[in-house]
Amino acid sequence: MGGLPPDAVGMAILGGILLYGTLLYGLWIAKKRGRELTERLKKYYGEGELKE
Amino acid sequence: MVAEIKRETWATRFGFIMAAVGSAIGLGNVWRFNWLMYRYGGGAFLIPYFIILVLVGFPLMIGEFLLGHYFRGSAPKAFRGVHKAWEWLGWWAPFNAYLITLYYCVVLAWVLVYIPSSAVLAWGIPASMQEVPKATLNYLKAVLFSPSFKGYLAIALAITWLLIYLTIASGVRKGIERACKIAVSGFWILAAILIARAVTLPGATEGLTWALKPKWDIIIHGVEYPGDVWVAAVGQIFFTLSLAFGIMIVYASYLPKYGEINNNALITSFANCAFSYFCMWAIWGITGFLMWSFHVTNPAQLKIPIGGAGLAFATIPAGITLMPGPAALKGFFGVVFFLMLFLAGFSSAISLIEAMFASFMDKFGIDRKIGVPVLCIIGFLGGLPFVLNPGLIDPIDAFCCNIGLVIIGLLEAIVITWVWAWVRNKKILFNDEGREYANLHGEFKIGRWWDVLLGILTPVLLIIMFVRGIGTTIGTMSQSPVGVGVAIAYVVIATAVATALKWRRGG
Repeated sequence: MGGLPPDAVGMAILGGILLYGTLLYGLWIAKKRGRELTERLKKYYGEGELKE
Repeated sequence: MVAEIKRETWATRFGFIMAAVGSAIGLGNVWRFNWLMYRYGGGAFLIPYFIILVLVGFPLMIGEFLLGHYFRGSAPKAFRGVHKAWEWLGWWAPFNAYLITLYYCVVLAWVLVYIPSSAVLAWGIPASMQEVPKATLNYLKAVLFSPSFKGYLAIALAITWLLIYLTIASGVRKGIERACKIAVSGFWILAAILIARAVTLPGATEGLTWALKPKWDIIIHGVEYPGDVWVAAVGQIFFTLSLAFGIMIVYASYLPKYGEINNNALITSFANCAFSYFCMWAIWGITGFLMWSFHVTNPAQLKIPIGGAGLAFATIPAGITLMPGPAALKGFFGVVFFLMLFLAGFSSAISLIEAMFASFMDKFGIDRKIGVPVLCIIGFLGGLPFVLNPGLIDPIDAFCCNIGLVIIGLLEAIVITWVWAWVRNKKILFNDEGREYANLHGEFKIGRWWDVLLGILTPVLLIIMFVRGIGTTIGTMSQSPVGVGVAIAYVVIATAVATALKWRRGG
């Protein structure tokens, strides 16, 4: 990005942060809360219901 | 009596996300997003694009996942679940999607033809560098658009449909999930290879500057009228996420009971838009190289398309031809580009057909082994008129997308909020039942803002987009009154008949 003007570099970084930042946030949440959600739903539906 | 069909499920959450992302990412991510960035304010376009993604795309994605997961069925079953008077909307979506698949697969057949063509630079390497864009444009016109029946395109179309058949006939896990894992990983890797080459080409920064440098005056004053940038952002987000086809409803219905809804919608929406942004580096790197090669300072001076099919089939091939290095290396990058395009389009095409098949399966109990080959054979035959006359694509696309998809999306947003809230819970706008279900299955919670965005903002923006574009849409449709007439008749009759027929027992 060395040859890009500063405002274009700024937009490139902003675009990357907005799109990839949010995507990474979603993936991080999935990793952090995925197991917790399954446990919660096991209690809610009962163990047997989850064996699909 | 029809035997009860056990609903298939995805093997893994990762497989579901890959299938949903594969469906959302298609040809438009490569050739439409880049053109919109260039036309509507460069890098500044990313701001309305992101805001509309958050305010419209993401809430509607949650809505479709919710419908599919809650009612455990395809679009007709899900809309009927809300209220039986809305079943017809659930049929319109997949019938519209199926019609789109007919010509979408023809475009995929073009891409398939271009894979070997680009390997050997079949458009030729003219003695004068100045003649290269002309050579690629002439090749495009001769190979794809000549007014005659092109046997090789019919064969490529047959191969495309055969691949779709083999994938969908193998089922959700062994077919769609497996194919999407390969396709999605494949097109990200191929895009990365292309970017690595494109950004190191001389002049690449020129093109990337055109794409990224913010033009705030356009954001404020618009191109044709104030606010048109926002309308363009709504259109791009709406069309790029595979919404209003019934696809995401079907895919979510294959999630197991403990499947996640909210975060899957976030990951799918943002992965799709992140890929568009990713591809931008390759497309504008190559366009910048062309600008450098022809000593022009504005992409418009290149006099070759910088958006749409022309970008893929003429401009990028011209850039590849002019790249430094031996012909074999140029051919390699040509194959990389067209293979990436094919994989992106293929994973979308299978989702369009699955949305149609699952609707028949749910209502009539049609077996996958019978329904899928019938849909594929009819799809292949229905695509042949587009091979013979590619001029049919734009008018029918205008009907399917600018009218069909927009109205379906608009009504869908209303059904998920207003109708569901009133019919099932006697509430106005706020669908507490649906939202609570999504939150029960969510790794994060959504609040009442979701109902407001989906029930008010989304319909308002889609109506504005529809009204602003209707003049152009009618103009495009009038290019082929007979073709559009047949398309309208097909959608109306098929939707009416499918809605009127009785449900199988247990359906």
